[in-house]
Order: sequence, then C-alpha cells, then structure tokens
Amino acid sequence: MNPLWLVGLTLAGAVAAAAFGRRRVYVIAVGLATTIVCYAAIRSLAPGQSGIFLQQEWVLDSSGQVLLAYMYATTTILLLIAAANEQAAYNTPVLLAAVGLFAVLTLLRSQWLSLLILPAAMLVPTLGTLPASPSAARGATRYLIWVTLPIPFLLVIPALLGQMTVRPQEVEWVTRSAWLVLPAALLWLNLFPVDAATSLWASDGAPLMPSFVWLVQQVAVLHLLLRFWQAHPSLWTQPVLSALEAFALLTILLGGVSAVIQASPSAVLGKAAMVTMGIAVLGVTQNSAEGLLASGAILAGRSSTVLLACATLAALYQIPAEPVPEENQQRYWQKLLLMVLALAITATITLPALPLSQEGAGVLGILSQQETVLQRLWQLSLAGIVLGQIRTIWLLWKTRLCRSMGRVPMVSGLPVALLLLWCLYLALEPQVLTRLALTVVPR
Amino acid sequence: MLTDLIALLEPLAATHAIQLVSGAIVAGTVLLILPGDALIAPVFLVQRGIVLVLLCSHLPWQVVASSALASFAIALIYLITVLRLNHRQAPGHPPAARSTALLNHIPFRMLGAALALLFTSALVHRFGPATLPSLMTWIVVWLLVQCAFSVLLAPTALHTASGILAFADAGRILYALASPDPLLWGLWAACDVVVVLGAAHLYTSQTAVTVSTPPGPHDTSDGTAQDPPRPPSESLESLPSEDTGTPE
Repeated sequence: MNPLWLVGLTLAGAVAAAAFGRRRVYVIAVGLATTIVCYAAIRSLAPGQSGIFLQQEWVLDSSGQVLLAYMYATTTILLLIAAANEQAAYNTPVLLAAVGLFAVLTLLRSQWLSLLILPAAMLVPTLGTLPASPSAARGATRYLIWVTLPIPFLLVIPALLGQMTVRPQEVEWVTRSAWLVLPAALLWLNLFPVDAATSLWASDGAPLMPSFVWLVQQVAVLHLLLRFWQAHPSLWTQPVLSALEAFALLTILLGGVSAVIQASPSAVLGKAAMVTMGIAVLGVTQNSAEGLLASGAILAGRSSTVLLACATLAALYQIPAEPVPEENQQRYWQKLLLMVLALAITATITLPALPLSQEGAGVLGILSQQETVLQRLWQLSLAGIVLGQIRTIWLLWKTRLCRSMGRVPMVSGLPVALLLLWCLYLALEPQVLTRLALTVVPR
Repeated sequence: MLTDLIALLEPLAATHAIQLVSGAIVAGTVLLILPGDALIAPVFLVQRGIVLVLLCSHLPWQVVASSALASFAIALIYLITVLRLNHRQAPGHPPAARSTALLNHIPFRMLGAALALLFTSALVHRFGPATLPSLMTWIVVWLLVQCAFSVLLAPTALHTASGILAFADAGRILYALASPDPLLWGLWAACDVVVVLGAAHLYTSQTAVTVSTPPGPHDTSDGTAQDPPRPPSESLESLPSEDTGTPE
C-alpha cells in the first residue's frame, strides 16, 4: 500500500467527522476508526517505500514510520479521552486534520516544503479551541503569534548556503545560516520565553488541544529539526547548540518556578510538560548518542503521564457541580481522581529521575555529566510544580469538586484506569522507556 | 489578464515608489490607531496591494497571483467574521472581546502609532542605508515595527493576526530579493490564510464568552486568575444556538 493513502484517509476522516456536525457518537466513531485503521496500516507497511505525487517524492523511512505510529496512537487516546465530553464534536475533525498534515510533512522528501507545511499543521489545533474561558482563547492567540514567525528566517538559509557554493572561502555564511535555525527551534518547540502560551491555553477545563501540541506537535517538530540538521550538518554548530541549551535550562527553571502562580491544575500540567521538554531538548544539545536516547526516553514517558493527567482532568470536569453543598457525602471518586491527577503531574516532572538502565542511571544522571547545574535547576523546578499543583488542586476541590455530586461516567473512567495501569507498569519497569526510545530517535 | 495588469503596475512601482511606501505606512498607521474590526479588511487589502505592486517587477506572475489570491481570501475571512459577529451582537451589549479599556482609547492608540513611527525612523537611520535601498529599508522596518505594536496593542485576535501578516510581508520583501521558489511562496501564502482562519475562530470564541459572561473581578490577562475553571459543557451551552446546535 502506498503510504500516501494514510494522508488521504486521515484528511477524508477529518472532512467526514466535520460533516457529522454535532452528532457526537458518529464523529467519535469516524475519528477512532480513522486513527485505528491508520495505526494498523502504518505498522503493517515496510519502511523504505516511496512514490511520486504532485511532482514531489514521498518516502516512508523507518523513523518516520515510528513517528507516524506514535502520532496515530496518541491521537486515538486523545479521542478516547474526548469521547465523553461535548468537546469531541469540535476536537475530532481538528485533530484528524492536524495529524493528516503532520503525516504529509513526515512523508515529504523535500525538507524545505516540510518546514513550510509544519506551521500550517501547527496552526490547525487552534481551530479546536473552545470558548471555555477568555484565558484559553488568549493562550491560543499567543501561540498563534509565534508559529509563522520563523518562516522568513528558514527561507533565507538556501540563499546563504548558495553564497557558500559560489565563494567557499567565506565560512561566515554558514555560521549565519546556522543561527537562522535557532528561532524555529525556540518558537516551534515552545521553549522559554514563549512557553507560557500553551499553559494559558490549557488553563481551563481538560487540556485536549494543548496536550496534542505537547505530545504530537512538539515531538514532530523535534523529529523534523533533527532530520534537517542531519541533512545539513554544517548548520549544527556549537554556538547554536550552546544557545539552545541555555534556553532549555531557562525553560526548566522558569517553567517550574512559574507553576506556583498558575490558576488551575491544567496550567500546572502544562508547566510540567514544558519542563520535561526542556530536559529533552537538553539531551539533544549534548550531541551524543546517550543524550539523544535520554531525550527519546523522557519524551516517551512524558506522553504517558500527560495523557493520564489529561484523562483525569477530563473525568473530573465531567462530574456535575451542584449549587448547594450537600453534607455527609464522602465523594470518594472525586478524591480518588484528584490523587491520580497529583500522581500524574508529579510523575511528569520526576521522570528524569527514573532509572533508565539496569545500572540505575536516570536521564538526570546522564545529562548532569555535561551540565552540572541541571540537578539544582530541576530541584527548584520540582518544588515549584509540587507547590503549584497542591495549590491548584486544593482550589479545584474548594471551588468545584467539594460541591459536586454523582459518579464519574464510565466512558471517562475507562481511559483513566487503563492509562494508570500503563503508567504504573512504566514506574516498575522504566527500562521499557529506553527500548521505546531506541525505536523513536532517528538514526 | 493578470500579466497585463502586472505590466501596467510595474512602471507605477518605479515612478511612484515614494508614494507607495508612504501609502503602506499610512495604512499600517490606520491599522494601529483603529481599535474596531470593521475596517481591518479594506485597510489590510490596501497595504498588501501596495506591497505587491512594489514587488511585482521582481517576481514571476505565478507568485504575484498566489499572493493576490491569498490576500483576497484573508480579506474575505476578516469580512465574514466581523459581519457575522455584528449580526449576532445583541443590542445593548458592548463590542465583543475587548481585553482592556485602555487599548480601546483612540488617543492612547494614536500615541502608540506615533511611537511606532518614531521607532521606525530611528531604526532606519541607525541600520538602513548601508545594507538595503532607502525605501525598501523604510517599508521593511515599518512592517516589523507595525507587527510588534499590533501584537502589543491588539484588543482582539483579528488585530493580532494583522500584526503577524505585517511580519510575513516584511519577510516576503526580503525573500523577493533571493529569487523565490513559487511553491514555497504559495505555501507561505497558505499559512497566512490559516493564521487568519485561526484568529477568526479565536475571535469568535472570545466574543461568545464575552457576550454570555461578563468579566469577573478576578480575571487577569496573565492566566493567573483565581476564578474557578468552568467545564467545557457549560461553556458550550453559552454559545449562540446557530453555532453549536443542541448537543446530543
């Protein structure tokens, strides 16, 4: 089967889901059927297949295949989480369209075209923003600002590299070109100082679209940038790596510390996800196989814990709130879900401390060999996230859940239970993350 | 027909370049000063049209055509969004989604626009003549400054989008010097359309919230508000019925 069919199928699924409008059950059925079929198809395809379409070469390489399988799997889980909510009718077509565009840029051979389709794919999730609160719309608007800004910087690179072929003695053109990749890396990976946008976007309700940005979009961006640097090794220079490293360290520190003043657990989750992303970027900048593996492992672990937190938040917001408090109600489900939420957010931030190998070396241990301040920054960040989550979870309990009645709907509880089991398994066997990372990182 | 039109406009860019650059700056200033959304589409079209006229002698006609098409699509999205919301606005409600009162004061915005012009002049004199022709420096620097001030002063997502488009136009003028690839140029134009589509959706979302719920006392602009989050189902109910229908 030609891998291009996957793109067509996903985009057709998006159109079909949109055509069903507000019929939630049909929309979810179409969404789940599309992503599950695509996941099964991509697993069955042999890597290395290629084809010509629209005068462009489309190739499915092995790392692209793993990335696509990851994207389809994550989107399927997000759709399952959304299934119980009214949001599903809004989110499903948008998620499918975005995944379809990410599939396009993963399969396209031309990296310059991929780099221009990437902003379009990144912009699509903003269309799924609900009018949940002014904060969500403000956060998404801020996110919108940064996405297309790197395009002019990237388009100048071929011209500058062309100068290098005319006058090979002028090495400064390469140095200048290398710096032009930095804005794309900073803005597309949402590192400091633009990391606050997605937390603000997530700050009310279950963070479905922001979770898509953290888990699918950021991983796709990292993959594409690594592919780009692999194809243009002259642009992978030490000063640029040092600058990227500095921004990653700032994201780790300030992301964690600013969690203290966030308004909701979803925003704290966003901060935790960004701190972990900072550590993953730090792994990439170490320019070593161990660093890259650590980066892949932490991203794989982050996906599981963020999905668990997202599912828990979706279930919590499904419990109806009553205006009059009723005494003598224990509200076990609410307390249980809040505990799971706290566990998921804490797990997201403590992932770097997990031992990834039989010898007991964690991501922090591996990365601290080159970056000595990392341990202290991470501890400060951890303190910020823990304080932030205690405060916001307490706020959520006092303002909403202590008055809420009823049980968690089965449809919302099921993803929480399954993801909790998976995360517990990962906590007991963290070496699984290393094995997953080995398949994710591009060779 | 388009090639004839381009042939007609090319001498205009050569003989009236100063007037065209001034026109683009005036259009940008108007975008910065006006807090309302009604005039964004026509003023944007004027500014984008001027930029295209200035560039048409350097670009292949396919590139100009793709840009013109994208510009019309953007203006149409702006227009439809504004008209839909004006139509929906209940009588007696304030204009939708104004984040703070200060940003709606025309004297404040005029001060902002004056500061933007001052910045542009200072930057052109500092960096200009050595690297680029004077007029090109003026328009590129102005578009960059306009982008920064549009984002800073934006009362709605539509204004933010106009700032993003100004930055893209500045980038396009510089990219036009390096024999641009028509396919990449066309994709970039498509990205602009998606930006405006996203902004229009966010503007509609903001308006739905503003109309249904008056701003709370604890609502702050930095996301550190103390108000409890509302579940998505509640907020969906607050949308106008023609937009959402009844959930099943």
